[in-house]
Amino acid sequence: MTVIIITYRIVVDYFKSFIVDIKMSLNLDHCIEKLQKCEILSETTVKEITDRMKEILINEANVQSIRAPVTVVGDVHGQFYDVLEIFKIGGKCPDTNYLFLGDYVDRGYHSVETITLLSCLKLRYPSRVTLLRGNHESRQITQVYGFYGECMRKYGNANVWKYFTEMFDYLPVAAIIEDNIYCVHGGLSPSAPSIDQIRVLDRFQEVPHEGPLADLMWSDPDPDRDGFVESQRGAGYTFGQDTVAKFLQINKMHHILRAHQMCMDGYQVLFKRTLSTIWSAPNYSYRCGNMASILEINESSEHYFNTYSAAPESLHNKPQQDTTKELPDYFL
Amino acid sequence: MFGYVISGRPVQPSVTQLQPGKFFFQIDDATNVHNFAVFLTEQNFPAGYGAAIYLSYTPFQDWKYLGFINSLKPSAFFSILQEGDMTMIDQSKSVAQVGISIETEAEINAKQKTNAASDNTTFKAIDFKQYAFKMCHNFVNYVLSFAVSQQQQQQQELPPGTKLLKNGVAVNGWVVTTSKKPILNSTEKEEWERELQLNELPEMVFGNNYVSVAREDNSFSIVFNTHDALSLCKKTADQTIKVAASARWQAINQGTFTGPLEKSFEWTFTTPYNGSVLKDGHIYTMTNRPQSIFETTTTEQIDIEKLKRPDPILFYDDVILFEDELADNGISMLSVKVRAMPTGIFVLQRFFLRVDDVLLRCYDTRLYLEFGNSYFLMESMLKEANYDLLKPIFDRDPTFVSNVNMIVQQLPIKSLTVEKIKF
Repeated sequence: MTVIIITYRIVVDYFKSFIVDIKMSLNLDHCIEKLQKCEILSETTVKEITDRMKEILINEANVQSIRAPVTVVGDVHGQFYDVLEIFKIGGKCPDTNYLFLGDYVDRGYHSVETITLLSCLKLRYPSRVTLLRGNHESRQITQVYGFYGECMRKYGNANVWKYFTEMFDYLPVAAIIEDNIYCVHGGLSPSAPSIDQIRVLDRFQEVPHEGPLADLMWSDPDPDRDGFVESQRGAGYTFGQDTVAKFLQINKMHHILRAHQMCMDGYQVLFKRTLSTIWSAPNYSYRCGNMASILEINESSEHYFNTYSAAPESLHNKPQQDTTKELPDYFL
Repeated sequence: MFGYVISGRPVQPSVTQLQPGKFFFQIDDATNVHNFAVFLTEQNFPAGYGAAIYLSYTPFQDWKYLGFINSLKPSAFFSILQEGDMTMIDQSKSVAQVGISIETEAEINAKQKTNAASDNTTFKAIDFKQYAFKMCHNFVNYVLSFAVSQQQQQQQELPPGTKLLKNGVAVNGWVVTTSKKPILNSTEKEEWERELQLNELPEMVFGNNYVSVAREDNSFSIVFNTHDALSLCKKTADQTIKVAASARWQAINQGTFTGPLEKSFEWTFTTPYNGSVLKDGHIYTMTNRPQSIFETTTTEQIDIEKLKRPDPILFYDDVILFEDELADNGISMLSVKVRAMPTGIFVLQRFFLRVDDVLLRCYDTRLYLEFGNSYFLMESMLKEANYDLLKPIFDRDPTFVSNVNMIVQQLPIKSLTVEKIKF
């Protein structure tokens, strides 16, 4: 039976790859090659890429099913040279299957190059790359935390930002690996205790401020408190060990994989090994000095956190407007 | 009959004869040649005749008249410097040939006239362009001659009594040092939480970072460090501040959510900290200020005009003490800038808080030591405003949201104190 399913998937993939290639006036390999040199693509090419992405993503479920082996990546936040490092240590596309847990943009210097590259890889190898939505894949957040400003700087207008943020509305919000590992950017929601409730949410919209979609992308685990606990800040939840145990039991899952929070060691395993946080932006914001990791899961669901530190290019390729900050200045 | 010299290359006593009265020689690598000379090797050049000199590039179709030599003018220099400069070299012009043709004086005179005429028209434009280009080039060279790297500058201009240190500078009996290390790991953070009795610390605690201004004999120092800054944070949350989504969030969750609140912590991490003064084995922060050291009645102000003077900066650094992204609801950040000059030392510590769509707040501490004085002047200022104050600006251009300097300039002052700190 397994053999038949695998053969079927390979055949489907094979034919799909033709469909994509024929439809495309876009030379994806050329685009990928250019992006790997950290060069941006033209506005019209980006438009074509995001349009094609929407066509693929609209057919993806809210909760994508994924087979192992797969490598799971946490927040990368526009740290482009560290993303290249991921493909160096984790293997190239399509030799390795990748699941990204969101937060591709904002904060780092190369959000545009990062999200364009990941989109091209998704288009080129649709069944080998899965991109989930993070809380930064939103119009409101990207205006405040860098992606909008970067698009304005690099393209002179907000079109590219508009194309990408429209595409973000189509990204799936969760994934399940081998029917037993539940993957999401932030965490659990009190209004969606069952995965089936997540499957029927209307995800094609800007990330709302409240409700289950918001919770999936914003909430955090709390090792000290049981249950869902409301944040001091007045919005958002933390969830405790009992909540995770209940969720796993109801949904017949073994583990929750999420990102969203920086970890000094690149990952953190909580709640008697039932929940892991993966963080993939080393030396976050180019100054935290933290490690990063990707999680490699093999066919028998064994997993390994592959940790790495910042790529040397990451600091060397600071854009001008940031390096000048470190020159002596007559501040008052 | 002819010889030639290409500048920088050996003298060639002969040229190739093609047919009676026609000669030529080739210039390889012509883009690097600026000029050449052609000369007669025999005295008895026939009167009434001259040798016209032509230049041509691959494929040697068009021959440009350059000038002539004859018995009265047995040698001449010709320039073949190509238009523009190194950046504009045309690679198709890498091989040149020079043709020499024996012609009558009448023919040569006619060519001289047309050449002169065309010089006045077509070639003038090129000359102007070249002139402009060269002028700019010379200007840039001139300006660049004044440029020195920061390090060179420091080395050249170090006044007496100044010593550069690995992470700071010693000047006029004072030592300024800074430390920049990675953030605390989770074990260290837990220790700090216990020690400081805080339920939560900022996401990024640069616990080993500091800025220190100390006397050389260590009898007195002012330090800006993360630990003391966090110790002045309130232990519980300021219930008047909620994130923007809070109101709608509360309304929607009313009834559905009855769970407990998270353990209270001051999630904006607002700290009024303005440095730690160390004297005679005691540490003084803003909660403990004996009059023997701190004089709060002073009317003296920090002389901003003096600080605007471009005195050489012997040492500069920008050090972050902590940062929190408020779970993507804004930013809370404490950072310290310092500059040491031959005339004094100036420090600016800034706590900046932005709760998106809710609040903007800034605590600035300015510390100035003017050499010659026996005291520091410290100015502590609180600025705060509702987010609405700047919302029109942010709506016009969202990139202003991250422009801290611009925001702080716009905020109204809520309180201001100046004190003298005597050492």
